[in-house]
Amino acid sequence: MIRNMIRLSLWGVQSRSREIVGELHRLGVLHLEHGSPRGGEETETLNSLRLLRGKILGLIESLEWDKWNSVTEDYLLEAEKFFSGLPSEDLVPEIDRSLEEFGRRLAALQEEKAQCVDNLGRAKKSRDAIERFGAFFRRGEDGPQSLSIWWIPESSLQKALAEVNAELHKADEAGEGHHFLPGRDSLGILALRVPASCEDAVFAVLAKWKALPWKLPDFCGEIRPEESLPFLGKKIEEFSARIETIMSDISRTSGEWGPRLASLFLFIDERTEQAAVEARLETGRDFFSLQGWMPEDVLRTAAAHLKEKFGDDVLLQWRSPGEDEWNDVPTALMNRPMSAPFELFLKLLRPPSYSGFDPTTAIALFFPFFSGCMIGDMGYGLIILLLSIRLKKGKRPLVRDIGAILFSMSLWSLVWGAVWGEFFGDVGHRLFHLEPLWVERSVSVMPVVVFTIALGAAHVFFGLLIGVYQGVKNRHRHQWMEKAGNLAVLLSLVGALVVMKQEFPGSFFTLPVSLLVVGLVLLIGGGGIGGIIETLGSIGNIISYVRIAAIGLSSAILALVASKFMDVFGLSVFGIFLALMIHLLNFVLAIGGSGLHSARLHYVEFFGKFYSGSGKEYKPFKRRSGSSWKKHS
Amino acid sequence: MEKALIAFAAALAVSVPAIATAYAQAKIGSAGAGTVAEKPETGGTIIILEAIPETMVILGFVVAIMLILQFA
Repeated sequence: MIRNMIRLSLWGVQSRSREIVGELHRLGVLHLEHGSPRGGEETETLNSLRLLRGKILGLIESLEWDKWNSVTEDYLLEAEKFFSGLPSEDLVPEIDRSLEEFGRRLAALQEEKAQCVDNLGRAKKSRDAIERFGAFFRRGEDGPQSLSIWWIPESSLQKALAEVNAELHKADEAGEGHHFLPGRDSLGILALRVPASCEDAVFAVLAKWKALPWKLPDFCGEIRPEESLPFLGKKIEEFSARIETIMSDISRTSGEWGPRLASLFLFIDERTEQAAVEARLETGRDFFSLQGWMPEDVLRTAAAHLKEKFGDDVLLQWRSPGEDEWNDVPTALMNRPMSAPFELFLKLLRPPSYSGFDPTTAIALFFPFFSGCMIGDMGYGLIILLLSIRLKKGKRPLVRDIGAILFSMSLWSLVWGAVWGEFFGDVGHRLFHLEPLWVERSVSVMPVVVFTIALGAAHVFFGLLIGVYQGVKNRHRHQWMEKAGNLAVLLSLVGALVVMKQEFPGSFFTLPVSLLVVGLVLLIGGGGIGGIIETLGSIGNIISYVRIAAIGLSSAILALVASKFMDVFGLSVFGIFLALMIHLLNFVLAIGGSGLHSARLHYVEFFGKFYSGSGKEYKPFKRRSGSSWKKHS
Repeated sequence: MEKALIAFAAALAVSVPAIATAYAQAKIGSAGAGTVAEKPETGGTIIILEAIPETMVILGFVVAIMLILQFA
């Protein structure tokens, strides 16, 4: 059901605007109509609040804290109590100052951690390289030797070494000793030992071949590569220990400060929302005003509350929306507890317009009926029932809604299971001689197909009737004429079929033919040629309901296959295991397939006849609930 | 032989639309996944679009059932 809405105008004393806006925020029933921001002091406050909110969120992310679910209303109340003592102009600078010191310390810790991680990586890489050169370093040579390490492109290595050897030969020295370590990107590390007297000439050759000196990291100081292994090992231990200490510091700080910062964030977030409204208020010299929409059923309570709290400092005026305003009125839905969970299906679409029709009750009736018909097995129905009872006790509203939908599906699965005589396929028949109340759908296919087409016709006719009602109610002549014409043509076809099948005399054809003529006139008057095409589409829509029989048939046969495995393999562990696996697969397919196809029958075949989804969502100005806090993380 | 041909015709009536449906759903699915990644609020519309081509295979199923029941 779409709730009746009221246009509310509120005037208040300027000096109490913050209090009044805060109270409206707490009441959480008014859908505000915002003007554009005025600028001036309010906008500056809003911008500084937004900046502060961003800063707090940045700190929370730096702490890698994301346990938003653990933040309760109590945290928020605590933050509110703590900061409400501060004058509003001091609030932002005061919090900003406190956060600055905290942020500085946190940033210093993280910078040190990043530095340590970087140094650790460099130390490990140097150690690995030096270890690979260990044997080369230990090899002794006669006379004073120069030991150097170079980055050199692999492609230049052989030519550079040849030139180095030529230089040594020129100086009548023995040949060089080298060890090469291939690296990434065709760049390797070359350790080179040459007589000390030829050092300059050899270095010049290597520089010519674009070799660069390889150095130990800065923290090694003047230490020589061949003596650096113990030092590097010690440094690696030091860096690892420091990283661990910093991480445990950050983790402790995160556990201690995360919830506090989160509650501060939520507090500032609420203040920002209120400030955004304050910045858009229409103001006079001593008063302000705001407008919005409110459900009629909460108006009295809200008005009495505001009057009690602010007395003559607030003035309220309300009226029902005019027809010309219907497009601007937000749509708020209210349904009985049994059907309210099915509002979930409308959340995937834009809401119906204020003057439209809320199909939630119809979905609550037909959706479980269709999906139950597809599942049609008492065994599966029982499992879904148990699952739904568990889900209905869930903490999140979405989980509870899904539980309620599954509950209705399970009841209809039990009913249809009795109709088709299925309990885990034919296990019921084998064990308890369970017989179908109507037909066995895996054997008698045609009656089920005909039944589902009849079901589809009824559903589509119902959709068309709603379309006619909406057209008449909203005075859309083309809409009601087209829907009525569509309905009349389809009814005439059904009538003609009945006359033919029941072998009535030819004169009985007068009624369907008359209906057809009236229908065609209405169709062409309402929708022109497009109307006739829509009727053809409606016939396709009705046939589409055969999917209920098709999916049910595949589910029934898959369950029979499970029993066949038991027949083939006997009452063995393997046979039971295979049968259970097939039933598990069938169960998952039954829930997924039946849900998806029932939803599709509603979205495409049923909604297509009347639903426009042109409404505006009712978004009251209210405090965030626990579930929406997570969206910040 | 005649029965085998009827069974083959029924199999074709289901399999050809099934292949066509799979092709259409693959195209819609990949485009839909991209759309949902950019605009999560379009999820409902994408589910509807994804389910539309299934009508082909349902009609194929009806034809197959009619073939079997009428001629077999």
